[in-house]
Amino acid sequence: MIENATLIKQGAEARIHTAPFLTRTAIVKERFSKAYRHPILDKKLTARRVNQEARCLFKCRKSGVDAPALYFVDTEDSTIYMEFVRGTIVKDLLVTNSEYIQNKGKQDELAKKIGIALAKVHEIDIIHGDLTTSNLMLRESNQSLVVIDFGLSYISSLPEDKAVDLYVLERAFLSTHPNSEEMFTEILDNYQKTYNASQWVLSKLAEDYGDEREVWNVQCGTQGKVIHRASMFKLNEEVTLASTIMSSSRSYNTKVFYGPPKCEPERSEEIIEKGCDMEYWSDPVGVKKIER
Amino acid sequence: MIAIGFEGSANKLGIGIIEHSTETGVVNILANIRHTHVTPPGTGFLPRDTAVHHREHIIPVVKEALKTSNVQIKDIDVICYTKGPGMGAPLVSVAIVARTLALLWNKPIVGVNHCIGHIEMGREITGADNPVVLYVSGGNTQVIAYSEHRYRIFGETLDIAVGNCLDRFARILNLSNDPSPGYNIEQHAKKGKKFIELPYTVKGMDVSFSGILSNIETIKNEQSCSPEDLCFSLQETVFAMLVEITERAMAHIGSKEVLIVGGVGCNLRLQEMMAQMVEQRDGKVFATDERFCIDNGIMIAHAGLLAYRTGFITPLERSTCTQRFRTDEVYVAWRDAN
Repeated sequence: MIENATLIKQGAEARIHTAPFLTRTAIVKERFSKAYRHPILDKKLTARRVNQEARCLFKCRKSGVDAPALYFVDTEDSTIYMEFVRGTIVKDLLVTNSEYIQNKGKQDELAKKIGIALAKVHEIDIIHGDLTTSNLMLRESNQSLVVIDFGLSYISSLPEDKAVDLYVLERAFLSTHPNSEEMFTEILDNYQKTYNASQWVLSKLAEDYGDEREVWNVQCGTQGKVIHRASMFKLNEEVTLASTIMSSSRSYNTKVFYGPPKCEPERSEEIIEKGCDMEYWSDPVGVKKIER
Repeated sequence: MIAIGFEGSANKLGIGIIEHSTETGVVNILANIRHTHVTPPGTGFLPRDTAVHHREHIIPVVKEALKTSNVQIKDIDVICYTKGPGMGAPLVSVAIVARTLALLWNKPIVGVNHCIGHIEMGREITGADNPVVLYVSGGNTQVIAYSEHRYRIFGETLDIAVGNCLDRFARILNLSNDPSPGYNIEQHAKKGKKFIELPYTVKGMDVSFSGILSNIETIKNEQSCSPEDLCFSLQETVFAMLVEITERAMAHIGSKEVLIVGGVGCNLRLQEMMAQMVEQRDGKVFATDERFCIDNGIMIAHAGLLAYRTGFITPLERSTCTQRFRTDEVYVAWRDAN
């Protein structure tokens, strides 16, 4: 067991403590076992995930990405000891710090740091897996941007995976921080400047998520995975206009409307009929034909 | 108000008759008749043969449902049928009967999304108010939560459905399809002891099952593992994946209720594992038994009647079927926004 530990957070899969480690204070992330899982499976999964997280943390530090320093990995107790970063979480900065809420210069400066940090993470083929503003911090001592919580991270060089990472961050940004589109554009700008292979990622982002992103932008505030085609909603005129602008210019600066669009039930009927590649009419003659 | 529901999206043919009291909203199940197309061990059900089965049995089943319910044709307010998703040929064979009866009896017709049928029936039977829904069957694997008049899909399978994985696994082992492959796997699993490692694939809130099947095909001859051990390990692995993504969805939206629906949902081991997970979170699990978990006509009648009461009718010329009909395409007019 961890000595002199103070529990600071309990998630679905792990408990986060602070505890002294040698001469310093450390964050101790302890993955606990799940009662519903078979013990063998549980042990193996937990061990795999602890390893993966530690590996990603280490790789980040080695490549110059500011992430918590890895102190010690205890595979027996499934715990990772890492640096206790003193600083502020980006989400709190954007929600409570008036300097950041009002000052565009401050926002751009922060966005630049985020873009560069993400570019570095993706450059070494690490996919964070849970990029939200709660998992980004500003270090108190030197105002450097720290990426934290690599619990869902893995290594992949596919542009698709990196695009998903950016998409998740965009969703997190727009749903928790209203009027942050400009900031996100700034993030992508700096990401592009820093990361050489960014074109593949950004084109994937536009091509795979273009449709979803419009809908998301239009109806953000709703959490979760939204796999709607834009056409599924009968949008009111304003919103339709906004999404047309968005789709034509692919610009993030256009006005985004919050709140759900007006949906009308009979519209989905139409889409079902148009949107499917196979349509069955109850045609008795046709059905007979395929009989033996 | 009385509705009759026609379900035939897979190998189950179901006709149900349900009554909603217009004043109190109390739901009364008048008939729930089902006839299943069972194929020999080692084989699955094919769309064409299943359609033939449905065509052969639908008239007697409708008659039986009417007889059981003691309902006169003139008392029925609306005819509901499964519009999709499902297998094309069986869907059509049942939809044509529903449509013909609508013309014959001069009743309005409502096309119902099969998944919505499962969810609404589960909510009605268990009394779960606003749960995270795990919908697991032979054709679907989805984690769903309600928001803003839609059932939104949080996580789902990236390849095959969990029930499809179980069915095909039963075929590999030549287990009986009577009453269902899943039931027989569950009985075999109770005797299994040794845990054999199988691929465990959870990606965020999504799962993948296809690797397990190919893995089992290679190891079933190589190792000295009994069918019982394989069934046991399969259940432990795939259900752990499902419980894990359900837990993530619960943590994400801060819900404490889980509702399990769909054919695989009547597996007691899955219900037990879900209960263990939810217990750690101080929550509650809701599940139904085979009468309502496995495809049935009642759920179609119920969901159709809910829509009908909000004024929804499918025009006759649009009373088609479709194999692809996502859960989040349906506008849920009968629930409050949140």
